[in-house]
Amino acid sequence: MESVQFLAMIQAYTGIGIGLIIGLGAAGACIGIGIMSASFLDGAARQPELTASLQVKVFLLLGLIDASFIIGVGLAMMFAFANPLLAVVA
Amino acid sequence: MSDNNLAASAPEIEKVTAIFKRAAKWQSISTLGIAAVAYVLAGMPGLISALIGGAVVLIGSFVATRIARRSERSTQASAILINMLLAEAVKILVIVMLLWLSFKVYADQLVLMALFCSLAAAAILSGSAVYALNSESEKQG
Repeated sequence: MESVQFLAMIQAYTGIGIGLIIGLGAAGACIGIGIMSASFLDGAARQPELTASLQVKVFLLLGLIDASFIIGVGLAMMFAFANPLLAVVA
Repeated sequence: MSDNNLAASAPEIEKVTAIFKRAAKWQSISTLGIAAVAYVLAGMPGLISALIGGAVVLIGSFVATRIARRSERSTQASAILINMLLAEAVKILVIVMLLWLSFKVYADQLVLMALFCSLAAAAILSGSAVYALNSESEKQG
């Protein structure tokens, strides 16, 4: 009975952790992308001739901003589908 | 706002492709390096797990690049931006789907540390394209 309670607690806290990892990661990435997109539109409106070169930089920086979120998603999916913490109960 | 100046020129697009190829090369090298270490430490499951982690990010980046290149003839900054955000959304969706698939199909023999290290290295090295772009700009003066 005690191990079942441990199992339930580990799963519950892991669920909270997964939510925090994905939620905070998504919030950070969205804030970063929002700031960068606003700057891109601002720059394109001020100097339209630079839009082509800014487009390249924006797309590359999008990947860089999303890297931390992708790592967080990978970590969260690891805990969701193959939780190593459950080995303690087993 | 003049529309003539907003479209990405052909050399600019070629530069994007070349830079992405260089980033993909570095991602592949890091994935293969981690896969070799994982093979020594954990055997064949470690090798396959590391390859899965790197391949997931590489496939996502490739799909995103294909979608982002659809806007190469766009004439408005807003259209370019919307297309890029769509490409990023599809990239994350592809990565999540492939990770879910690999966790479902290969869950029994998955070496988590190898997969995660390879995924993190490939994701971080996708930003290396920025440094490649910077060095290209410095060369051109």
